[in-house]
Parts: sequence; C-alpha cells; structure tokens
Amino acid sequence: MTTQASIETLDLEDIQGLIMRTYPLPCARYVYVHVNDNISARNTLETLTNNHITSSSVWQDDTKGNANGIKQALNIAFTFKGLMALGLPASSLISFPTAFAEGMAKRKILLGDEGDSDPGKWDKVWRDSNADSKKAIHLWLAIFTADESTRDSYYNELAKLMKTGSGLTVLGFEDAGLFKDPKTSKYLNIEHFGYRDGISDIEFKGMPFQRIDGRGKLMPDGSWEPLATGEFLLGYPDESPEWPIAPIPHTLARNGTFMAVRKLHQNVASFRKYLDEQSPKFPGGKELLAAKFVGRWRDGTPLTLSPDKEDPVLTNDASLNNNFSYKNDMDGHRCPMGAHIRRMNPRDAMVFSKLADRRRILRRGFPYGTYTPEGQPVNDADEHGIMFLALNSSLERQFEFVQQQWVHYGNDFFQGDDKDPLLGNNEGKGKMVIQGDSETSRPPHICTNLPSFVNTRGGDYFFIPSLTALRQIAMGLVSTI
Amino acid sequence: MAINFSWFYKLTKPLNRILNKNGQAYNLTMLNPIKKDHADALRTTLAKIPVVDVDSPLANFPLTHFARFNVIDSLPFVGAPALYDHLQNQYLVFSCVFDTGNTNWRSVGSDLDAYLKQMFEAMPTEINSIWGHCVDFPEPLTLSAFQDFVKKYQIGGGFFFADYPNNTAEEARRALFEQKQFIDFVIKAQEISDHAQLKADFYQFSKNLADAPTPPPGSIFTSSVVKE
Repeated sequence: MTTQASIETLDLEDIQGLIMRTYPLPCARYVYVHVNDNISARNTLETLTNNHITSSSVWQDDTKGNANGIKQALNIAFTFKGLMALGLPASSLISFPTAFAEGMAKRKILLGDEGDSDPGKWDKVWRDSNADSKKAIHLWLAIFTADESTRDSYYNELAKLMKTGSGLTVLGFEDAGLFKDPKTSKYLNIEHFGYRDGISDIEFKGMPFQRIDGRGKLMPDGSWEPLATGEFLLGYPDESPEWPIAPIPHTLARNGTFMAVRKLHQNVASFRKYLDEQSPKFPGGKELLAAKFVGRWRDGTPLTLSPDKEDPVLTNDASLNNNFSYKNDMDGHRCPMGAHIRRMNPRDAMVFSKLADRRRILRRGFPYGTYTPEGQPVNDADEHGIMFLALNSSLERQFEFVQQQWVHYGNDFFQGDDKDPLLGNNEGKGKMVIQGDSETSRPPHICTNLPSFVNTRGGDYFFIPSLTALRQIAMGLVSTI
Repeated sequence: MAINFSWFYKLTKPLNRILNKNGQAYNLTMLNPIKKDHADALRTTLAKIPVVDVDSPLANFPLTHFARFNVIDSLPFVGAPALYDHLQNQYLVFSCVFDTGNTNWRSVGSDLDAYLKQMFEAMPTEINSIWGHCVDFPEPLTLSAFQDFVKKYQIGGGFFFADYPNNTAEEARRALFEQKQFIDFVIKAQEISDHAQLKADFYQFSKNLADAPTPPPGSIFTSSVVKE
C-alpha cells in the first residue's frame, strides 16, 4: 500500500521569492548577463546566492497580512545557453524540455511572433543574444526595490560583483515598475492601456498566505481550492496528478520552475484611436467597449459580476474581484467569449473547468516606460509596454499552449480563428464578436480591422532554480551519476 | 497458441460491408501488401503528392471528404520486453470517406464501384504510381480490374464514425462558404441604420450568395460576395 504525504508546507527558504508572489516593491531592474568564464562565473554565482538571492521565506505575513519589512530583493534565472556556459553535464542538459532548450525566438510561429513581432525586429540586446554566441543572454537578474534610488544603489553594488574577472559581463538592463501618480507621488497599479493590473494572482497548495476565493481552481460545487503545487513548482504532483516533467538530477529541478520573459510593446496611440473610432458605432460607448475587450472594466470590475458599470467596492475587495464563474454567462452576454481574461483563464467557460486548471500561469510582470494619461498626445513608437513574466512548470503545456491556442486561435471558445483582441497579432485584420444580450435586446457587435495593439520586442525562456540548485550549479556539483 | 479467426471474418464480411456506411458517407479502407523493396520508392511518391488543396489529385473527384495514405513497416510493442510483431510485408493503408448520395445500405457495392470509377477517371497516373508498388496490382490496368483489386484488399470499417454522415463534402464546403459570407454581411450591416436599406441590401446579398459558385474541392477561402 502506498501512502500520500500531504504537501501543505513548502521549503520556503529554498524557493526563489518571485515565484511565491509579486513583491510589495514597485521598482524593478532586469539585468541581462553573459558568462565569459565558467569557473570565475560560478564563484561569483556562489557569492550572489549566499549573500543576495531572495527566497520565499520573507513571505511569512504578519497578522495584518503585510510582508515583513522587505526593502530590496534579487532573483536569478538561466537560459539553456547559460546552463551550458556554466558547465552543467550533458546528461543533465539533455533532460531539459525542448522548448526551453530551443529558446523563445525559435518558437516564433507557435507563439505568433511574426510580422512586427518577428525576432529579427526585436531590441538589439535580444537580437544579439540570438545571433552572436559572445553576446548570448545567459543569466537574468531581477532587482526589486522600494524606490528608484535604492534600485540604482543596489544595482551599483551588484555591478561591482560583476566587474572584470567575475566571469560575468553585463549585456544590458531594462527598468520597469509601477507608474507614479505625478500629483501624489503614489504608485498606481495600472498599465499603459489604462486597465488596472495585477488583480488575478494564482493560489497553489503550500503558499503561506491566507486563501482568497477566485485565485485557485473552481470545484464542481462552485467552491475554490488552491491549484496543485506541481503546476508551478517542479518536484511536486501537478493537476493530472503526476510529477511534472523535470530535468535531472532531482535536486536541480525541485523547488525550481520555468519562466517565459517577454518584452511586450504596447501601441497606445493605436489602441486609443481604435477605441475612439469604433465606440460611436458600439451601443454602450467607449468604456463598455474597452471593458468588452478585456472582460473587466478599466478599474478592474469583472463584467460578469457587474455588466453595466464600474463598481469600486467590488473591485477593491480581493475576496470579490476575482471570485466569479461563467456559469450564468455561458453565451458571453456579459463577458464576451473572446475577451482577454476569458481566454487567459476560461474558468468554467468550456464547461469542464479541469481543462483550464492545466493551462494556468503565474504572472509577475511590470510595465515599463512612462504612462501617458488619456487626452495627451501619444505615438505608437513611444516607450510603452510590459515586461511580462510567465512562470509555470511546463512552458509547452502552459505558456505556449495559452499563447498558441487561446491568444492566437479562438476555436475552444467557439470564436473560429479570431485572436485575442489585445494580445493577438491581429495586424489590422483582427475581428472580435461582442455577443448580444437577449435580456436588454442589445444586438451582437463585431469589431473589425483590429490592429496589433501589442508587439513582441524581445524575450526568452529561463529556468529559475531553487537555492539548493543554485549552490550546486555554482559549486559544479550537478551530477546525474 | 494462435487461434484462427478467418472463419469468423468470412461470416461477418457481409455485415462489415454494410457497416462501412454511416448515413450517406462510406468509409473505404484498404490494406495492400507492398512489393518487396518497393516501400522506399512508394514513400517518395506519396511525399510528393501536393498537400491537401486544389492541386491535390484527390481534389479532382468531388465525392471525397478526406483521404489518407500510411505505410506500415512492422508493429512494435512499446513496453518490456521489447517485441516486434513482424509482418510478412510492409503495407500501404489507404483510408477515405466519400459521399454516396444515398442512405441505402443495400447499395454498398454499387456505391463503391461508382466512387472507384470516378477515381479511375480522375487520377489514373497516380493510381499506377501509388498502387503499382503493391502486390497483385493489375496490369494492364482496366476499371473492372482496379475495382476487383480494391475489393480484394478492402477491410471492413467496423464501427465507422463519420463527421458529417448526412452531408456531402460539397454541402460542407458550401456551408463554410456561406458562413464566411454571412459574417461579412453582418459586419457591413452594422453600419446601416435605415431598415428599408438593410432589407434591400439583405435581399441583394441573398441573391448574390445564391448565384455565387461553391468553392472547388480542396479550398475554403474565396473572395467576398459582399461589396465593400
């Protein structure tokens, strides 16, 4: 007889912090690093791991639900080329999944990175990484801080560690973070199109937080449970329930995960122009049209719960703003069948919510660039976008599936080959059906000639190891024997 | 101990032939032994058939819903201990679904003859270059010899699932075509506020649609009948 140990507690001190939750730190800097010398690079990596890398143990909340006084954080991830450069044995390297080994650029057709999103048109640091082995991005360092000056000083401290002789070369970096309200200097949780961001976080088993309905998986009786740990961390049972496919040795994989980094440029001028031009044709007006694209009003209120207006009470209550299903909205008369959030997390929209449970991703993104308020002059070329981070156990089954089948195809939602109105590579030919409402006799409306509101400007696939695995990589102890 | 089931298959053959039909759709499956040392050449021939579109030789006879060829080498058992179920030959599998236009199970014989006649007339070169690699291929090739050859190597479809048992391939193409045209019309109609105008436009659209030819076999996409 076999027994199954319950996995209610995780080794928080072994798991990198950004996996567990978005830090309460509004400023980020993502640093792209090349390994030029294996031995000294591993020494530097050991120093970084012992003195800087932030684990999840800082996440023990106090009684008020606040994280305990974190001011700065550092996390690290590796590309496949990076693991090669650091000297992982071939017997371990060949055990990594194909998508990760190939890297994001080679998966461009599957991901819809064509036309203006083609890897040949990405930012220089990413193009160089794909074209020149001496400029390949091997390491991704993410600095998170409470303010910009701490970010600069912490970066300078780390840059000293990565000076000549460290085995590492900094290829470049990118800043991202929450926007600051120019009047109050407070940080705002919105993105460039004006939607509130960061509402739907995921809850999986073993997270040391209070449970919040709407964040895990929907059960047949309508209740919510945390998702299986193995959907987001290697070394634990997943939703199937099996062990997720993981590289060997076990200690290298356990408590680690995979991450898709995508620099997504937002064509803010095109987005606002489209809304302005199309909304007079749409009964319900501009804000409802913007809400129909996403499935939430711009303040975050879900259309399924509040189809007629924004609801500040609802949207500001974490126990309510994500706590809904499509049970009473199967025909999309509230949240359209092809709306962004319904594609990203269909909940019970495909009847069997189990189908959605295997396609979830943890999002840990921040916007970059300066927010241009509504009504002010804006160009598509302006620096606007999101540094999108998607964390999951399987890039193929989770991130890539969502990108291919749900962002760039609509058949699962009875939307033919319509793409996601916001993320889809629509190139001026996109179409979205906004289903009508038989109760109010609102007719269906079809949006046509949708441009690409978002273009990919860079990205790659990364492995986020545990602290144990980091030390093993640093000490050259990864062995499959 | 091997048990010989051939008597069972002889008994059930008439039933199997009837089961090849679901609604008006017919499932033809052939299992042809490939002549010794011909499999490589056959694979090359098959690889060079244009992908399924209007250029495919299979698009030249409109009864076909879909068709596929497979070459089978041998049957490995995946597991331990590793086993191969070695076949005496390599085999060519041809499997297709075609329209008979009737739901009468008694006509399965004449349905198949009619389809093979269409195939024989539409792709005689390909019949030679494909099945010519198979054992017993009739030479010289005549229609009746080809029909006999197919029936000799036909295997029963058994429990045949048809995507569209009651619709012909042409009806399916027509439906997809009309769906696309109708979406185009709805998009255009969103901008018409005058009811009389909408009605007039719809009548015009219906007429244009009725007059528009169905796209040829192997194609779906075509230009819009809705005027910009």
